[in-house]
Amino acid sequence: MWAYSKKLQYPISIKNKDLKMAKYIITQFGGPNGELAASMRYISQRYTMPDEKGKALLTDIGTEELGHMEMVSTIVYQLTQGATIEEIKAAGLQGYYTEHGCSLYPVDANGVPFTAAYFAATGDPVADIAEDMAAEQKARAVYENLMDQTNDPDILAPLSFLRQREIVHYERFRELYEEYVKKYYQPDFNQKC
Amino acid sequence: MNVFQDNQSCFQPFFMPETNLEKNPKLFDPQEAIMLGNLFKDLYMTYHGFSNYCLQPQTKRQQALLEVQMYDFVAHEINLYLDMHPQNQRMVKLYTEYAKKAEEAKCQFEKEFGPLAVKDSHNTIPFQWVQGPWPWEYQC
Repeated sequence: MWAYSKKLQYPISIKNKDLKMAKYIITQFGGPNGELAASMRYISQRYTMPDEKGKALLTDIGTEELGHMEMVSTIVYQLTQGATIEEIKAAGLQGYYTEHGCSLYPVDANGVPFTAAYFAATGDPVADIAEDMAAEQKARAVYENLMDQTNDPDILAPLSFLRQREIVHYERFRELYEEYVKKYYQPDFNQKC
Repeated sequence: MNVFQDNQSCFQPFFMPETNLEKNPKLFDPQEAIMLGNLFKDLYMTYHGFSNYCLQPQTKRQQALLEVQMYDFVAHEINLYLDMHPQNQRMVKLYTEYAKKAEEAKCQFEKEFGPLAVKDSHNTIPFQWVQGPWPWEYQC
């Protein structure tokens, strides 16, 4: 069960419209390395974790990623508030506007819709946690790519916060990975289901 | 840290050495931690000098909410740490301490600005939960 708390994990209030940045930042909502993929990945993988640590960590990080999805959506929402048709055209968002208006729909920076193929759940704890470590590093890299493209501190602050979270999550997954490699990286582990 | 260490044989799984850091992690203050997005000094990594953003609440509501966000964040960071290190006494103690502070900050906020959780709504008409602002709204 999940319970909603009516707040963001970190405050966001963006004063200036920036449709181009919105177009790119939305990838951290619906793109391959975005927060939707992250939360679905961890929340799907947790059932077959072999010990309590794995179940707890994937549940807790998966839950935090849902909050990050809300943060990224909030950034996009605020960046597009009060946009005119001219501004939408200038930012190359006509395609998005046609399909979705000004609503939030999970796509990447090129408008490609979200797909569950962005993440895996293999049932093998070593393989799954290795993917999770990679996912955190890829998300960190994308946040840095996004930070390269703006000088607005209202946008940079939450992007920087989210980037830092990837670093902490990576470390926790790395600790789990080490334990799992020692315990379960044996040829016959997957025989016992 | 380099995960592609070449002093290991090809087929050996990669291990990091056990470190003492994990036993007693150095922590940022809650104010710093929420600002940076990281409670753990040893894990903190800047990008192009970014990462130092002052949080300046504009309203009393934002100020009260930031208190909740700050203590929730610290408690959550310790929670993730404890998932991997459930035997760490100092961190368990810190968790209960910050969870309590988060609860107090939440009660303080809710007294003045309404419920953060639907079950904290009072017996009033209209139902308090339905009132904005919502987290994504600028004035929040």
